[in-house]
Amino acid sequence: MNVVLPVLVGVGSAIGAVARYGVGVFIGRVNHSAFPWGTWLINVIGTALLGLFTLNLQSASPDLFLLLGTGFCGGFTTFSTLSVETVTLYRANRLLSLFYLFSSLGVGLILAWLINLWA
Amino acid sequence: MNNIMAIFIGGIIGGASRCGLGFIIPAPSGFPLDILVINLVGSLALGTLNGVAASTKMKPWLRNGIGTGMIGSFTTFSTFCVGTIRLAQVHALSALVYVAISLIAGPLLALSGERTALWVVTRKETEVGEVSA
Repeated sequence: MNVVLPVLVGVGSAIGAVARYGVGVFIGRVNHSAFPWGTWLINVIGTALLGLFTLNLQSASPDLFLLLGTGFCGGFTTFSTLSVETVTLYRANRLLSLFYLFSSLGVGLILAWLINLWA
Repeated sequence: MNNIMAIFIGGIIGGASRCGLGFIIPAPSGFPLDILVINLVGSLALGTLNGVAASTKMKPWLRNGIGTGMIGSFTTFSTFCVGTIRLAQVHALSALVYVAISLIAGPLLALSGERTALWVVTRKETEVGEVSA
């Protein structure tokens, strides 16, 4: 297996994770509701970015796609926090937790679909 | 250790593991089994970590490094969405199954991880208490 691949993805993911932490801390200061706006925005924006990179970079520049797409977008967005926050929110507000889960998915899928149509 | 440093190192480990597992786990007829397994294992792991952190004196940098860095980068929402659209174009039913399993099992595994961790830690504390008493 090519060693460069996991290194590119690893470094991109690490930058994505730090960016996610930064955005999360910032949104946490602004957002005073129970709704996890930080993760919601991160996941939606990261999905749109990955859609764009898939379209423009994946075949044109595979190494750059590994760094920015699989790496950065993959590390920036997160499914585990979505799962955990859905459970946490469910305890406080059941309906809002379902809205959180399904709106993340819905908006993410629509954006990925729209960008894909563009091709 | 610095939070950002821990998240960066955790991020490298999580991202590289996701990439590595992508090579190992097969994709039967184009089904993104790798991302499904990664997202579900990661949800269980993050729930467990939160359960442990809630009941022990875990250092914040360690919790951030493992949780936000490693597990956060290991799992991915963007590849999940883009992969679902790609799968839907060739096999709509598979895409529906992919989404349904991810959304139902993800939160349930996170919950069971947290519950198990809390149960194990509390039981251990009780045992220690009984021994020292």
